[in-house]
Amino acid sequence: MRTTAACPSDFALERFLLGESPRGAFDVADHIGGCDDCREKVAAKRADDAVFLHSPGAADVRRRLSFPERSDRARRDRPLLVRRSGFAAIAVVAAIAAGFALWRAPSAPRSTVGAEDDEQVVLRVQREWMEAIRDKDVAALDRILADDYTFTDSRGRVSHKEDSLRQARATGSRMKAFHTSERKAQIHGDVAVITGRVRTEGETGGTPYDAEAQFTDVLARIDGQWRAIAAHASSLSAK
Amino acid sequence: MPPAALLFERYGAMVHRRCRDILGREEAALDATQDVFLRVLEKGHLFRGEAAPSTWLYAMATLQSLQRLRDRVAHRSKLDLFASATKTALGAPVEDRLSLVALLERQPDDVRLIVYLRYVDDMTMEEVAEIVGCSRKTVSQRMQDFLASARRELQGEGIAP
Repeated sequence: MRTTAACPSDFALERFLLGESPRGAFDVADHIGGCDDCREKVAAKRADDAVFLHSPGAADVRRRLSFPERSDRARRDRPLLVRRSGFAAIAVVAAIAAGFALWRAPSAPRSTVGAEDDEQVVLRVQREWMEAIRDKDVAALDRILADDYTFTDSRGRVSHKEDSLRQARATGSRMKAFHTSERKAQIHGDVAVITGRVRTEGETGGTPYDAEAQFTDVLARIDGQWRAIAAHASSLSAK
Repeated sequence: MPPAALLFERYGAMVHRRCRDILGREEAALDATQDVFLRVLEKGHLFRGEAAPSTWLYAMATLQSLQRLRDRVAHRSKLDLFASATKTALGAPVEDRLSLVALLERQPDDVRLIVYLRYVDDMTMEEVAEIVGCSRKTVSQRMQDFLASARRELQGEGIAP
């Protein structure tokens, strides 16, 4: 209920907080400037925003929004890991050689959404992931790869985040350059699937290599950040 | 219509606050919030594009919560408030809260939403019209129809003069 006849409604205060201008001549901002009650309400809402969006309850809603088959409540309530593994399984197709997962590297952390839409963000993150592999930037990789990240190579071998970090720390091999093409991102709520081709050049054990692969990367928005949860690459050639 | 996940980041806290305000309990509010955004996933294509998503989501949060108010024991105080506000609108000495609650429950969603926004939230007609997504004239007509039929119905039960 309104505090006074002159106070804006709860909805008007919400819209003020959202930066939307409610219709009508009533200037909510002016009113709030001179009304202690409304100023307190707005401050409380603002504080509540931060608390709610970082709460376990909000994280739970996010997870459930990520998977479209959610009208079935039982399915909705399935544990996240089970649903994720289903997604990863889709990403894992067959493959061939190329024992080095070097190229499959794109992705990154920060999702400073702003003017970028989700598709642009995940493609940028994926590029940052590639750059982190090329530059052996362990900190960036640690940020980009989710803790339960898995990679499946051309031979069907599965490795994990720690393997990727170890590879970045190793000095025996190095990717010197990469070139991606035909990259496409599909966004499904808080999950993104990126497909494309990547050509990499580098050396391992003193032997130069030049390889091309088709990759599928799966990213998920975790606590507001797009992070890699699965990847798969099939070698198209290896010299 | 932006994806539900993006809408949640922008409007999730607002929807949750609205549900919590009506339902009073955190667990119920979270459940209602989730259902609002799941409905966005399923029915987002029905969203009227000319309106701000905040209006649609606020309306859905209100309706979701009102539907849950049917658990009368848990939400008695809010139902009392709803009935009391309606009683004032009727301008009649209606003392039977349960009759009023039952009457409100029989109304279609849009009428219940209008009555709640107008008499409990004390919103202006312009605000109600914007949230409900129709003209002020239509809102006014719906309210008048509701009040008239409510008086007739309660009179028939011997509750209102």
